[in-house]
Amino acid sequence: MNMQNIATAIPEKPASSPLRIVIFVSLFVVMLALCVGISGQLYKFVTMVAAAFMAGSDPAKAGAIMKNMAWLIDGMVAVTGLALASFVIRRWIATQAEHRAEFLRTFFLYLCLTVGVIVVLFPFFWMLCTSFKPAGTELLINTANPFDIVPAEPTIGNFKKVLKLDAAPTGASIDPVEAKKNFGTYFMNSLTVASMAAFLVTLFASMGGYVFAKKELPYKKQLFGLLMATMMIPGMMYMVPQFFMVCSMGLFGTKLAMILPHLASVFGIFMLKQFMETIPSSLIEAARIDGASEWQIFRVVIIPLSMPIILTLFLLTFLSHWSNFLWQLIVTDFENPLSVTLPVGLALFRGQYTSDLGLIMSASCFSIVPIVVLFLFAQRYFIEGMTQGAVKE
Amino acid sequence: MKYISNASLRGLLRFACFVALLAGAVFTTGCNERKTEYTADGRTILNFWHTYNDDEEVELKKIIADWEAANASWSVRAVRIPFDGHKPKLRTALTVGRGPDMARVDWSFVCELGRKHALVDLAQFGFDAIKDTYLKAPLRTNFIDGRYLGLPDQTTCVALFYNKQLFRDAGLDPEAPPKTWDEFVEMGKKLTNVEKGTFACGFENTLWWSLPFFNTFGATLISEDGKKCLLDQEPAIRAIDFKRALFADYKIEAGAWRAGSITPEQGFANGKYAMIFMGPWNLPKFTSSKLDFGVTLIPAGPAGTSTNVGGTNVVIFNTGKFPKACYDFLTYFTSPEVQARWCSKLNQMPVNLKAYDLVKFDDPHLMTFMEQMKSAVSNPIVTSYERLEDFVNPEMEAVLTGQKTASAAMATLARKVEKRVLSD
Repeated sequence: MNMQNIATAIPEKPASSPLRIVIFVSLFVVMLALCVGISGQLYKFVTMVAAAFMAGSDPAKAGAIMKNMAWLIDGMVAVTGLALASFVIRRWIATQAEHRAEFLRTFFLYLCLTVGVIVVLFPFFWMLCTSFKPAGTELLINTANPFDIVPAEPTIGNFKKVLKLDAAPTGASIDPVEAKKNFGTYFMNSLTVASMAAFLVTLFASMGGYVFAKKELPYKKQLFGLLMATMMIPGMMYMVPQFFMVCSMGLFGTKLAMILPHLASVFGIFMLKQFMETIPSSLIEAARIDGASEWQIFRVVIIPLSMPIILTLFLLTFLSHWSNFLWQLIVTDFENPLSVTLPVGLALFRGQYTSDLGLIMSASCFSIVPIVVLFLFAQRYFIEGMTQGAVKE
Repeated sequence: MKYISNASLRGLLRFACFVALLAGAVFTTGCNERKTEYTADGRTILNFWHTYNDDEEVELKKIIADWEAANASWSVRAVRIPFDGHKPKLRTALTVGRGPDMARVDWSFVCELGRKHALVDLAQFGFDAIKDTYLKAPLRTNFIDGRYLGLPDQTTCVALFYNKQLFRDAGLDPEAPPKTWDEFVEMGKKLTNVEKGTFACGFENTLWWSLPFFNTFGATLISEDGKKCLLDQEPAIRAIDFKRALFADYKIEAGAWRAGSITPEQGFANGKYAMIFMGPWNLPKFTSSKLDFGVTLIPAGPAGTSTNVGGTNVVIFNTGKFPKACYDFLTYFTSPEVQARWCSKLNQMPVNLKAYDLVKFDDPHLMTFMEQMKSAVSNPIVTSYERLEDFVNPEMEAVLTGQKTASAAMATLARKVEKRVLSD
């Protein structure tokens, strides 16, 4: 075997092809552009918030503070860009030539995911930025850079007005009912209604789901079919009769009126039944042999095993009650602030032709907090629950 | 597997019967109607549902206090409800007898309430003697089937807003905005610069926002007796065809009515559209945005300048026990002196003609609106104005996009409206 044959037999260590280098450079440029854009807006936002709080409700003063801090934003953007660039270049150099294709695929994937995150989070970021804009400037766009949505002259006036912190204290006595007409009261009302409804719906639906999944009773299938058929009737159809019933029971303007008509959730029963059918009946029989009562079987066996789907239903019910407008509006007694919930309270910021966008956005910033917290704590269960109920083995 | 035994089933049935009986007893004995309420000092309470904003509510309470001082037997309880949901709120409340004595409602809602026999005819209180003191166009929105069922409390209309800086940039005199539609087109050609992304105008395409076109062309949309749709008549066809021409032929309208486009309000605020139709409600917003703008009358068409009517009316429900007291309060609330006070404080147009000489504004643009209001034509009065919009808007869009000719679209539309909207 001559040298030429040996050279062809031993596989040559693959070097980075020019194409790969071109792709890397292209992706690198895109990454840098994204990094500068995102970090620029984020640092500007943080500076804007700080300036707004320092200046109080004086947008011009806050704008001046922001201008003075522009060098800091530029510096931090440059540092972030350099740090990211050096990190990626070091990883590129450290990656062996044969793994560079994989590196590029991962790099591309991360860039796509970053773009996806921007698309998803942009509306929330816009909401946050708008909540700091003074009245009349909410719709103004930066003509030099339309993506620069952080206000140049921010104010915390919207938050103060929403929380009713803007009123100057006077010696005059304050009407206790009027004093309760504020965002904090509406927030707590919504939290109470949504939490209670979610808890009770989940409890009743899990009981119903268990019976339909694991117990035998006459005409069970027909009864379940009948229940399912009620889902075909639009909710609007029974809104007036329900309102009539609520008024007749003397519940008008109470939180119970907002919860009671929605406690029987056919969707919830259906969802839990589908999941509970996947729980082996042998587990229930084993528990029964060990002397467990019906309640113990339900509490110790069924509930823990169904926790992902129960939490999913809890979240869905909480969400629907948290954002429910029409029913809560109808049963609200506007003379009693303790019956006004957040969606209804937010509607008070909208007039016939105008909306206080800054106020709506600042109130919305608070209103999304419980949803975000719930999702952060329960997202694992939520995703698990959504997929587990889908497959019956 | 266990089956429920017959004994358990019987128990279950007994329990269900008990619950049903209990519920029945609760519903039949439940009190649905509001009882007459009194204040601690013995005044009878009149419930007034309104949709005013924070500033207006403060002023309203002062006016109520003044009226109560002169009327020792009565007290007005002002309850604020969101404008967004006032229609369903009132519909359901009235259905179960929990409605207020009087309410402030959108102008388009009076017809529906009136035709459902929920409102009191004001003629019995001698309204005919004072009706001519109110502005004609807003008052007309309360005239349902030959009866006055409410009175205007707040009115508005649209006029032409124009960007003075864009006028200067185009070599036009910013103090000489267009007075006729011909001038509008001529100036519009100079104001439009597609490369820079600026257009002479941007318009909404809903019926309410298009009424200035119809009105300046002298079109009547619904016949006086409310039974015939006149959208297929020559003036209406010419009006909608002119609107189409602004977009398609002259290319001076930005197509702001298309989904995803920059809205007229946003386009004007950002210097993209030189002229838009807008109401006085946005004057504070545009002023605080430091925009150099002016307000002028809607350009005159064959029927001269004209505009639409917006705003709200106050009505008295026939479920209330004290309609005369409500009427006294509402006529006081809309009297010239109170209107002048209200409008001067809140920068709004009065509904009472006698208040025109009493009111003083800091904002000069409001005087243009007051002038424009005099040429306003009443909006079409139908039971469901929303449904009318639902039918008209898609047909108008079909004309603007060139899918249909104006005459073909309006002919079809007129028949549809007569069949589906006016037959109520």
